Amino acid sequence: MKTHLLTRTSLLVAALGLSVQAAPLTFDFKDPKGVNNVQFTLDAPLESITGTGTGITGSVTFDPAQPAATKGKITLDTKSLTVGNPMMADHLRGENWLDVAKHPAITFEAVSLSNVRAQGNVVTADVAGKLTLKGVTKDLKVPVSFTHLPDKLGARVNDPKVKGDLLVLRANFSINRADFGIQAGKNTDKVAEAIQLSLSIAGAAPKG
Amino acid sequence: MPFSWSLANTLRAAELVLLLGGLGVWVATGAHLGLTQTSLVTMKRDEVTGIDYPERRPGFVAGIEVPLGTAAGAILFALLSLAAERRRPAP
Repeated sequence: MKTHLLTRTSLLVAALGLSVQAAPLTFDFKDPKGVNNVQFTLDAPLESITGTGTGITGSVTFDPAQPAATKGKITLDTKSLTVGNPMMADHLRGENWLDVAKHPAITFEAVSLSNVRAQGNVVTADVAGKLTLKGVTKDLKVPVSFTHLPDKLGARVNDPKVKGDLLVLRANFSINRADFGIQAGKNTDKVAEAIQLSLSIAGAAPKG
Repeated sequence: MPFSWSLANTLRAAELVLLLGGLGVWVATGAHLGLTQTSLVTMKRDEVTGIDYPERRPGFVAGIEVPLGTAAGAILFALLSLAAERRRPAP
């Protein structure tokens, strides 16, 4: 009887422990180090444009034990988008192209995950979601890798007393500017229709 | 025969300096086929997350408009030197 009770108690404690471990974590992608970035490339016959964006915020709820349930929203401040040529950067942010005064953010909201595969601390999945760019929202499926780094927050902020996990998201995909009403069919010799995007961002989930 | 430095010769020299200068700057900064860049990106890696991130710093890479612009200027100088040569009174 005593052994039975002990076994039950052990099982309960183990189950509680598991449920605590398996609890979904919410990662905040506000980036004090300025590392989070998106790089974009437009490869047109007469001009290859490459640029960067760093104003990334948002949050993602990720459960290492149940990655398919991942949800979240990432926002990019359009004013942070820049290229190496100042005149081109002004055009990029101007009324005819991204119109950052009227559309200050580009957002991607994850709706569901499919084709989820886990290997060690890395999960890859096709993330279906809604991308909003220049006021136009389109459904999009993006291949994303999630790298869960438990207890690495202290190392990132150079303070071992700070406890928490990190989640690194990487995605490479392309969109078509015409789909978002950005000068559809115009200047295609200098500004490609297809925009290649490469996203690398890290979020933090503090503990305690 | 004494050397006579005319306006036409000055224009020809300027044409050559402009053409070679524009081409030289363009080649020296990497013969970039796009437009001029006034900031450059260096990729760095965050050791903790492994994220490669761009660091932008001021810099100059001459774009294709530099040799094209100086070539146009050189052509203008060549035309002006021809005009100056024709208007030169015969000795």
